[in-house]
Amino acid sequence: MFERRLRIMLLILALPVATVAYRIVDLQVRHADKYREATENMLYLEPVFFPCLRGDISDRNGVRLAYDAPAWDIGIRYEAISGNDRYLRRLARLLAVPSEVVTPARIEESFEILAEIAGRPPSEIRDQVAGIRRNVERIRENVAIRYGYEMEVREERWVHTLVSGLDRQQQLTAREKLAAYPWLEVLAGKIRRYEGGPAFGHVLGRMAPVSLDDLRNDPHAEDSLTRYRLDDVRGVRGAEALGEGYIPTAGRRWLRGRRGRVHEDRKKRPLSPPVEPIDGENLIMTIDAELQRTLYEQLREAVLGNPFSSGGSVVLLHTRTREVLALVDYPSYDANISYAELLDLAKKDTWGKPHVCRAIGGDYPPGSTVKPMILAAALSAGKVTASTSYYCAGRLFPDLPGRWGCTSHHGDMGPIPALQKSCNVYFYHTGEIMGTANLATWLPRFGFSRLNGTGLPEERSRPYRPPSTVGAARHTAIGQFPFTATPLQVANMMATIATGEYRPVVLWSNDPRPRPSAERLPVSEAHWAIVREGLFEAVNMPGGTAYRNVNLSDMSDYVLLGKTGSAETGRPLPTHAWFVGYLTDRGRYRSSSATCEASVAIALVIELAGHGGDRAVPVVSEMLRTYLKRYWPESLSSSAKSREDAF
Amino acid sequence: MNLPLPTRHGWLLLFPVLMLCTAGVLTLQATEMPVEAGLLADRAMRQLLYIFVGLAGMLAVMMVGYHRLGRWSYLLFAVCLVLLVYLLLGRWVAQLPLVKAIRGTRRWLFVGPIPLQPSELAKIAYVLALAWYLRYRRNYRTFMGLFVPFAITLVPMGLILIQPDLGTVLLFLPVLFAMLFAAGARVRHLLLIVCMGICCLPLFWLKIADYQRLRITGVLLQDSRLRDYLVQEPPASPEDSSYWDRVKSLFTEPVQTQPAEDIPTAPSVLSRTRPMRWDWLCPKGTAPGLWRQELVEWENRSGYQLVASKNAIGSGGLTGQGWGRGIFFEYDFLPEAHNDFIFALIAHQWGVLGSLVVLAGFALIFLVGLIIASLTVDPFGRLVAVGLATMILVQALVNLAMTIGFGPITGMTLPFVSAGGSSLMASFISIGLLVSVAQRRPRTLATRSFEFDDLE
Repeated sequence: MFERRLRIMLLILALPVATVAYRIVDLQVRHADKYREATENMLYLEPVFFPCLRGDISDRNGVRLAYDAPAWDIGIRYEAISGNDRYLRRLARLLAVPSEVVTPARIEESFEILAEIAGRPPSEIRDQVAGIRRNVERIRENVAIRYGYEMEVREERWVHTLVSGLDRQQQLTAREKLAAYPWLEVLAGKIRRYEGGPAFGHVLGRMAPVSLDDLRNDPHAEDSLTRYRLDDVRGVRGAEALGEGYIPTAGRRWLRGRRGRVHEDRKKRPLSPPVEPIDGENLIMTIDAELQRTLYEQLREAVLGNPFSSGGSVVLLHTRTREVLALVDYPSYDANISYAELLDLAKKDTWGKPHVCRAIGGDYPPGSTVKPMILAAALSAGKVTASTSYYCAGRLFPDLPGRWGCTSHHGDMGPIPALQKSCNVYFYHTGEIMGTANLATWLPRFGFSRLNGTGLPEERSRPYRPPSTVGAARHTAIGQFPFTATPLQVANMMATIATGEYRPVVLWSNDPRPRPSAERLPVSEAHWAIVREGLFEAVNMPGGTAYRNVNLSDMSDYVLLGKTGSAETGRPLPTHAWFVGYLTDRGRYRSSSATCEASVAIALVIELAGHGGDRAVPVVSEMLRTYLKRYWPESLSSSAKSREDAF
Repeated sequence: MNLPLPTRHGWLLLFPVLMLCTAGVLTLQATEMPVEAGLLADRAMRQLLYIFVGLAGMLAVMMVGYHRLGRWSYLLFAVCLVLLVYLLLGRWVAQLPLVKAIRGTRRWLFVGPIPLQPSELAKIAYVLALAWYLRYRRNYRTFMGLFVPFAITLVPMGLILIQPDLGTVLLFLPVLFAMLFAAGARVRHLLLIVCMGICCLPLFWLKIADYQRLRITGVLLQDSRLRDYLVQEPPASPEDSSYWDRVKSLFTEPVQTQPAEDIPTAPSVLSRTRPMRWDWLCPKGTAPGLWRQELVEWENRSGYQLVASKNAIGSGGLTGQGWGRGIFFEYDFLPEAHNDFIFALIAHQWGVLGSLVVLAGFALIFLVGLIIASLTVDPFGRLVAVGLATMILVQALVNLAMTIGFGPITGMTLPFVSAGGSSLMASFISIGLLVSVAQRRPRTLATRSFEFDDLE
């Protein structure tokens, strides 16, 4: 019967209806508490992260150069700047204030007061607020694209920092004035302070807020304790950037440390095991702060003593370990200045360019300083021998005056006198028979056209890609364009000549990662002896380019070997004055200096100062004297002690 | 079925319908703050407009009369099929006029600013056409005679499945079975077909899209114990072991516990680098990481929706949070809350009482539908009433099952409550047809139709 069938249908469909009804009662009556708690936990499910202190940066003797100092920040709840009425009402409920208190007009008013406290124009605060809102909205859009529907992102429940770095007095004032605007919170924070003044501006570097690109390219984005967050700052320059390096064995970024986390529900029951924050490790640099500061002063005087000079740089390396003892630029800036002030500085001083880190990022023609390297390469490649000599008539082609010139009329030149007198003609020939292809294989062996391992983001190395012409080969052999190098590369070249092996330099002395091994160069000891003899005669024998101005005659145990350079810039201005050299045992300067603990390599460039022998050598003499006085005072004879003390 | 109810006029139906509509409008109003401004929110306003249009449509259908519509039912059905085919063309023809893909599905025809969902109209046209086909026949009492009714069902089902719209597809079969059963088809035939259908399920499982499969597995994944089990490291087994050996070993070898110092840094499976049991369930030859991606999708999408929806319902409790109150109105924790998951908000606001009233509303519509069917003697009217009442109830049940975590997320709206014009229109037209059936005076001389005694 039809009705019977309908009744059966009714029964059949009553079954799912009853099931649904049972389930509803089950959810809402039997398990109501569980779900109510779960719902409240949806609000509190976000883990709370605890910041950790960033490690100090110190020099090799433990002198603190950068550290976190306590400071206070003012943050704003995102709800207040969301521009959404619903969020404002929610904020009023969260802050437990009547909804008339949280109005757009009052929020605007609070910006004015904030600007007054921070000593900044209100428009700047508003721009910052707009920037935060834009970032959060972009995150929200990305989430919507990824998940397919709009949902709330956690950044919408954050307190975003607006003003930072308040001192104790300022924060007390701020607390008092902002008491009526509870969406602005004074938060305990920290500020990075730097010691040492402008001598350390480039080496210590700078911190900057994390950018969206940093977030996007963060290799540790999946690790919530290590990854960058929108409100983080990170080291972007100098040692601060070096310390951001991730140490896999430690599982954290070295200087930065790892933030802690507590993840619990509303009843304080942990949802995951709490993680203690780990403060950042201290980063110990190989730099000697006192030496660096003195060298900076000496460099500053040298640069200011030359009318055209736009700046200069000096690098001091320990030859055996390649530890960087000093990495000095002039002009520089104090690391405590803000980014805006730095920009301002760079805009004002277009001649000196104080923002450029010259020692590792400067792109100079190295001039004659590379001649010893060219000689070692040519000897080892069999292109010249110890007895090869070329006739120097003051220029390469006697009938072409004004081109391919030399410093003087040298006559017959063997390898040692060619280095001593820095004969261009000898090296034009050498470069010509080496050829650019051959040179391109030898340059990287001495550390050119590759990074020398400081790990700083400023470190540059222009690849050596010359046209394969004879002219390019000749120019390379005397260190002119197309060959460019940084002072660090030149200093490391000298250390390579001193020890017979190439090593990347070391700037971070407690770097837990294994250091790269040395690369022994395919140059025989006999050939090294020729090169070192040439360097010895350039400084210590009459007629050497550095002989006249070197002022280290009182040095008893050690001897300076080196090479001057005067690199043309292609402009109608004086040349860059270079001197590169190293200290070694006086008795056995022809052999490797690896056993000489006092051996250091130095590279000095003074921009647009003139002849290296005249301008750079006296400065280097003073700098080395400073070094010896600090580390090896017994090596200087008593007569030197009556001289003005550098310290 | 001779209950003393004024079903003759069918107006009783309007009581649950208007109650459901009111609940829907109030909830929509609450989702869009500010409520206290005293004005109707945009979404609620539009819903109210659709309700009036729907009521007008209902009156129009009643005035035309279901029988006259039945005469055009084949034509209507054909038009709907053409529209569905037209929507499908959008898959191959770029920039097809009126068709726009929304989240990868092509369900809507945009006539000016008004979106029309042909599958909603196709449901009604289908009921009419099937009832028109079955009304004077008896051949469906033989097994072969069931061929045509099934063909009529499978064609629109197939077209809608390709859109894809799994939810609407799920409606057709219960309606077909209900109508065939009411018309007197033999139970053993229907059971045989059900058995055949169950046999075809594995094929269906393999053919549907990944996200659809995940929606079904998502129901199981709600159990955190199962989820924890699946993300554990799989047992070591030789590389060359066959897929089934590996799957078997998953369930026979002991579970490895994670080392204690391993702190899960992120709850998401995305950050897991180690292999998981879940990866092992992925057959060889599938793209690497695909299944893991599915699990991530689950966490982010369907799983999150299911959990949020259950939380919303459960936290409503006995009395509810009150109109427009509660966390789910302050935070956007429940996506699609105004649409597919509106029941969760109703339960959140009005508690167990509100939820059961809504459920009872649908049950009442179904009951009245069946009473209307039993009171009329017109075979066409009987089948239409059974079909439409079943359709509304099943649709509501599918939606509720999804909301309470018993069924897959299908994108099925809750009739009369969810926001959406086409769905409301279709629901009101159904009610119009039911009332129209109820109002038609039984011809006392006519024999009562479909009076088959046997049940086998």
